[in-house]
Amino acid sequence: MAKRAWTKQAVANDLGISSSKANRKQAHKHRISFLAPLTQVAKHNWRAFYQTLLGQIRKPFSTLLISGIIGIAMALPCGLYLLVINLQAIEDQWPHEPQLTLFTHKKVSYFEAQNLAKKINNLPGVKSIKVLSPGSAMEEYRHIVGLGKNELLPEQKLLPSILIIAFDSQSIKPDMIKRVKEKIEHLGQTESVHLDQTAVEKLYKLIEIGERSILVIGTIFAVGVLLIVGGTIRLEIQSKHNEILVIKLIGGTNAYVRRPFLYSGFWHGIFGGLLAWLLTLTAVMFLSNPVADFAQLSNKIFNLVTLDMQSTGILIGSSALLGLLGSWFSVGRHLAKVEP
Amino acid sequence: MIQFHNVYKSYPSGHDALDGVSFRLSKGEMAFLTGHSGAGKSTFLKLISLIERPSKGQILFENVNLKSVSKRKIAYHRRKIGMIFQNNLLLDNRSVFDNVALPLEVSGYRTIEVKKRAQAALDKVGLLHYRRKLPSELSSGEQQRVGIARAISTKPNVILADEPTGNLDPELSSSIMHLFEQFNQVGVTVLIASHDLNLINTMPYRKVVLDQGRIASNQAPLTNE
Repeated sequence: MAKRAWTKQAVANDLGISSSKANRKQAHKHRISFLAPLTQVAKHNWRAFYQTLLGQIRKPFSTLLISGIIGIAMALPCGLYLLVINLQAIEDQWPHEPQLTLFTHKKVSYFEAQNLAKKINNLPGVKSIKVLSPGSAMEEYRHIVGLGKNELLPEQKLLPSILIIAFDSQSIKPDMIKRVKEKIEHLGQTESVHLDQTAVEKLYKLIEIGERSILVIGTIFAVGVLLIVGGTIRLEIQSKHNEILVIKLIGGTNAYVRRPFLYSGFWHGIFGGLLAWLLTLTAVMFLSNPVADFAQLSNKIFNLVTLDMQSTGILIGSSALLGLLGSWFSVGRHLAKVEP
Repeated sequence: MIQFHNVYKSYPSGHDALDGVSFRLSKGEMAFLTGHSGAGKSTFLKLISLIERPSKGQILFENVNLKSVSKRKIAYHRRKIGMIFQNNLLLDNRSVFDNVALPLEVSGYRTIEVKKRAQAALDKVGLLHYRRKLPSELSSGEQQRVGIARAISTKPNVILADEPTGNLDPELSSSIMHLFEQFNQVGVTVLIASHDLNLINTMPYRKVVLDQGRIASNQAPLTNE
């Protein structure tokens, strides 16, 4: 290779720096255009976006490890959400059958109790009444406690009659039941009237607990994901200490240095979200057979509700957001410490 | 180009690195900063590139008081300076070309421009044929030249070099110094911190000798070209 002559002009042209004004102008033509700040930021964003993605694909093991942790953390509240959604679907299918249980005074005879039942039957909304005599109530009690037929209970004579009042579930409203209850209490001869909570109502309360649990567990695991991503990004910053130092020394802005780490956190979140989605779907598939058996046994048409498009979007989106936030906190805390 | 007005710098440890230094480097001048290690040479350069801030006194760079350069603007200030380090600070997970292109990418040059300028800078230090290699595959002299190529790729008006020949044998050292001379000949202001007195004394440039944070002598060049 012929050695190049280092004439003053040749070097000047190469470097674009010279005392001559003409050369100055030439050099300025090559400088950055008016819109450059915007386009360069967009360009670097795009580059950081795909380079961090490539970086994670090139290290499948560590990527799988981190997204696995995030995925499990995201899948738990997600699974709980599905559980609640499905319980709600069960609850919707079960008819609400509100009922009142009435205990007569102990002195009220079985015959009087039957008369009372007739009166109550005329009240609005009442569908049917079942009267349990003190004897049959006793039989039931004996059965539950496991007493023999000849064994006497000391207070046997003092047992009341019991009226079980069922309402028409289609037309009755909760406040109507309350009014009927008050009217019954005014009829006299009653010791006490109880509003029975049916299994469905108990299920409804359970669903409420479930909904709150999603909030609590979701918050806890969201903080967990923030910490996981934050810690991962901290390690990434530590391992790229030299690179950050050099970029800062040659004029890289903080935003330029920050960008790849933010995108890295974003990708951790995306992969974690995808894995959570996959885990949840697998769990649903695993459960769908026994659930179908259960539905058949209870004569119900019931399909497991799985993640729809919207909840999948929310799952992966919130996971990506958590990844971004986690790296944002970490970068804010640790990047400032890396100064030349 | 660069002016120091009664500049003091003491570190939190209590060490006084610079103790009232006044200095002026004209546009297009080349000068050496010399003295024993610990005399304050590195601190001197760090203050110009805003790696450190003075405790007292003022520094002017291209007639801009560096006190007015906020933390956010430091990056833009550094883009005006080509910095060369003793341990060259090359990134070993990137090719020689990518190392040289890094300042251009950071400054947001267009891809074509990045390629053109990085190649020109590598050609300038005579290492264009090594552009695909990793820095670790090169000798220390070659690595230092890659560092120089990186510093000049954005065509800065000022080059600051901190012990650029620190690890090199005399022959390589003088070839590196010759490169700096060439940049200076086309109008680049060059300030080199070096304790290699044997080499410096053969060169016709101003020598500023630092001793315990003070300027002990500010010797004008013996001969002129």
